[in-house]
Formats: sequence, structure tokens, C-alpha cells
Amino acid sequence: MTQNASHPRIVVPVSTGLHPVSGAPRWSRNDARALGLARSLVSSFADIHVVHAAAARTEALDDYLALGVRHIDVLDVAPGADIVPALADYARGADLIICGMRAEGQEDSGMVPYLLAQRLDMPLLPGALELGMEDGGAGIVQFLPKGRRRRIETRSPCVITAHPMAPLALKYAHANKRQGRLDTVRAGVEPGAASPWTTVPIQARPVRLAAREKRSGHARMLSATTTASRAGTVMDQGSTQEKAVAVLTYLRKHGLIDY
Amino acid sequence: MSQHRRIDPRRPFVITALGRKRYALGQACLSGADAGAAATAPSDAGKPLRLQQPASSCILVAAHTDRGLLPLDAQQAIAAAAILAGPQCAVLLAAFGPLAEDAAPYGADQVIALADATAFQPDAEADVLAELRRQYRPTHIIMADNDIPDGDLGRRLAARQDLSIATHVVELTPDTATAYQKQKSVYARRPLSEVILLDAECVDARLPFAGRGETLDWAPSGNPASRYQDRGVTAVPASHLSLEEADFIVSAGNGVHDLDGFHALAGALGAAVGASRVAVDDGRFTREQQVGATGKTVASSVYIALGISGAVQHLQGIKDCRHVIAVNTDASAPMIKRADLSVIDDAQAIMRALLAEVGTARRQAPESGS
Repeated sequence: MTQNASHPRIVVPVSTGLHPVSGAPRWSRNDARALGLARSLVSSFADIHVVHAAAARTEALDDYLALGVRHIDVLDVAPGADIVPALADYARGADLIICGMRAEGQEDSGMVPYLLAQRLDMPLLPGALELGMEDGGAGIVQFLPKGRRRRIETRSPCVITAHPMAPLALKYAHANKRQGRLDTVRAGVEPGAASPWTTVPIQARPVRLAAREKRSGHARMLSATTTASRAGTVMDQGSTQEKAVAVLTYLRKHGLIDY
Repeated sequence: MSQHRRIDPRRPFVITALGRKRYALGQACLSGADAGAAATAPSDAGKPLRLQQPASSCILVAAHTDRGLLPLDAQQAIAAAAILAGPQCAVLLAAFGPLAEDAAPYGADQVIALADATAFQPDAEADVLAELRRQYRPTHIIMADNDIPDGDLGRRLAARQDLSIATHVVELTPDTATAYQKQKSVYARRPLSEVILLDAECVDARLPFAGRGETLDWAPSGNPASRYQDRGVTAVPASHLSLEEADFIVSAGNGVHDLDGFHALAGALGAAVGASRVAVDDGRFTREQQVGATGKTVASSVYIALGISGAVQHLQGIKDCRHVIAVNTDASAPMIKRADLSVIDDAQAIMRALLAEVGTARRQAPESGS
């Protein structure tokens, strides 16, 4: 296993996605962000091992070539088989495995990075916006909601998932698409367990789970028409300054400001 | 003989503030009673307990708290567990991070507070959940599928313990979980899995019952070293964020004339700027800053409403805000009912006083950065 910060072995598994509006097969935006993060670490795409596990190769894979990838290894996995063992065998010995957070046109469960990390016994850093490597370790800037960012580190080898909000610096170029190539790689096949999921066409919006209520019609009407008071504090006495202090005290009490 | 129901001429009524009789169907108060007594009938108190029998099984809900409170998605996960739970099934809440509020109204029967879990240590947290699972044998583990921290933790737990999992669940029934697949072009349905990660708005968190809310004294047996180092959280200033993502919003309505003072206050607080429809229509703010039904729906932790009366459309836009502070001259405005703290005064005066106080406070605590 190489632990060289200047030439780390980086594996990026990519999947094919569907266009969110037209449903046409195409590249997955999340996986393209993973490629972008990988590209930020090395000087050229030649140092990145891009891999796709699927039964049949699709036109959509060429889109990753258009983003600059030189070649993609396509693991020949039988239809219905589990792709994780094949990907894990391919990625064994890698310093970094960089994935998108969620597929866009497959099962879309976001489980593959976690199953890979578990199978290879690697730590996993989720939701990366930026990625850096030092000797023997990797660190990311993790996306948190409400404008917060967190720096976390772990030792390599490790799995990283790219957040959908990570910047996408790669440009789509048709010339690159013509130059790249796909290589088929034989994969040891483990038969997957039968999927517990059954797919059904979308005929209605999802129904929210709600508790059955036994209230009278009058009570329901009341709750629908009146604004329930929060029973908040009302300050109508005192000077303006006292009121301003009360607002700041409230913010401090709930840990909303730190001064 | 007439088939019409006869109306009782002495049926219950209340006398309103205007001195008129008001008949309210179904209201059980004496005829002629005071209007105030009926209006202050408690709506939340006295919800029956869901769990009336000793529990023989449980559903585990794991959630991370945010500044001592349970976020909306965590409340929905608890509500989902409470709705799915049978008459002898308890809802066990494992709360990571400090918990300062009572989880019983959300439906939790037993609460285990793990107040020390504040840093990013998902492997240690997954170990804690695995230990809870061995000890309490929950039928399901329900969590919110926010990417980080809960969705991450649930996936780790399922991968490590080899549990069946349903992620991004958009429809939950007592038997099945449904999620989108193929880029939201088909539904995928399965029997309820051991780990269930719920998408936002999959559950109605309003419950007609309450949980027991007992605190369990439980601590994990080991203290395993985490493989991750947390180097701390930084915050992007709220003024650089879009309104939907901001955590601190100062909003102006028709009662604000001193725009310079208002923007100075927003800058001093490091808050994003919002506005009500009237202020936007007047041209004092841009359309992107409008909060409400026609504008943006915000979900900040703090929402300071200056000179906003609080039309229904505006309240709709701030329904997910955690702490609402209202400043208004009219004590009967709807915004005052919604707010957690209301100040009855002129917005201009309060803005000036608040700006001065914030300046003083920041000077006294210069080391705290931000």
C-alpha cells in the first residue's frame, strides 16, 4: 500500500445518472463533484482511477470522458448482482476513495460509500466541500447547514463523499469525450441477495404519516382558524434600553449569540 | 310533525368583549360565561399519554440536538416512532448533544441524553447505538435523513451491523417504507426495515397524545477512541448567505423607516436581512428579501421581526423558525402571538438601543471573535 502524499492512489467510482427533468441518461452531478475533488489533489487525470460497475456499458459513461477523464475501468458485474464487492476488490490498496453522496438514477440510497468503507475497514469523511491530503492523513471541509463548515481529519486510506454543494470546476468538452476510452475489467462476481424493494410507478404524491385524531369537528375548526399563542413573554413596560437588554439576554440565554 | 332538530334557546353562549352574545357549537361552558374563560382554554395541556400499559418492546429514535433543542426533523422522527408504536411499544429517544427541552410533547417515552457527544465522532456514536440495540432490542431504529449528522450515523450503523435499511423514505405506513428511486421517477417500496431514515416532511409531527418523557440513566460501557479528529466548526457570516440558509435573520416591516439604522443593526448582529411584503412593495427592499407566502420560507434559529404585524402569509413563511422576537407598537398584532419574546415599542427606538447594546457587548467580549 502506498502512502505517498504526492502520488496517492485515488479511486473514484462513478455511476450513470438521469437528467432531473427529461430523464435522459447522463452523468451524475454528485459523482462529477467527486471527480472534481479528486482532480484538485493531483496534477492530471492520469493519476485518478475512475471505475464504473455495471452490467452493460452505457453512452452516459462517455460524459465523464468529456469532463476530462482519460479512461474508465468498467467492471463487468452481472445484472442484479451486488456491485459493492466488485468495487471493493478494485479499490483495495487505494489511499483515497472519493464518491458522490448519492446516485442520481440508480437506487439513490447513498449506501455504497458506507458499504465500501465497511468492507475495506476504512474511515469515512462525509459531505466534503474541499479536500486536502497530508502525510498519512486526509482532511476535508464538511458542509453543515445554516452556513456552518467543519474541518475534520482522519488517517488514510479512507473514503470521502463529495457534497452536492461542492464546487464543480470541471468543464464538459466534446474533444475530451472522443479521446478517452473505456476498458472492461473482469470482476469476481458474488451473487447479490434478492432486493427487498419493489418498484411501482408514481401515481400520487407521497402521503404523510399522521396520527389519527379523535377530535370533534369544532375543535379541528378552531385549531385551523385561530393562531395558537406561543405564550411568549411580552414586554410593554420599562425603558427602551431595558427592552433592548432583554432582547440580548434572551439571545444569550438560548446560546444564539456568543458575546 | 317536523323532522327539524329543535334549537335550544338557552344553548351555551359567551359574551364577547363587545358585549354581544356569541354561540359556539360544541363549546362546553355555561351560558353567559365570560368570553375570556373560553378563549384561554389550554390547547396543549392535558393531552393523553400514548403509552398506557407497561412497555414490552420499543422503537429507538436517534437524533442530534441543536443548541439544546430537538430540530424539526428529529421531532418528526420521534412522531413517526410514536405513531408506528403499538400500545405496548415505547419510544426510546437517544439524544446526542445537550438536551434542554422536554421531549415528551414530541412523543418520546424514554429519553437517554448523551450530552457529551458534540464533536464529530460518528464511529463512537454508532457503537453507542449498537450497544443500545443489543440492550433494548428495538424493533426499528428511526432517524431523520439529513445528510449530516443523522443520515450519516444511520448509514454507518446499518453498514457496520449489517442491518436492513431504507433511506430517504418519503412515505411511511405501519407496514411499508417508500422511497424514490431512479432520480425520482419511480417509487420503491419495501416492508419496514430495521433502520429507517426519513426524508423531511414525511411525517406530520402534530400528535394528539404525549409521550411519558422519562429520563433513563444510561451510559455507554466503553469509551472507544474515534478514528476522526474534529478541528472545529466555522460559520459563514449570515449576511453572505441566502435567506433560506441563514440562521439569524433581522426582518423589517412597515414600522421601520430608518433604513440606515436597520442595516447597521443587521451588520452588527451578523444577520441576514429579510422584509415583509409591504416593505418590499414600497421599494425599501428587494424582492429576494421578501419573507412569506409569495417570498421565501425561512427556517432560521433566530428571527427578529421589526415593525411587522404578522399577516398570515408572513407567519407562513416563518413557521419553521425556532426563536421569534417581535418588536411592534401594537400589542394585539398576530406577530406578538407567534413570537417567543415581544417588545412593545417603536422599532426605530429599539433598533438604536439594540445597536448600542450590541456594540457595548462586543467591546466587552472582544476575544470571542465572530
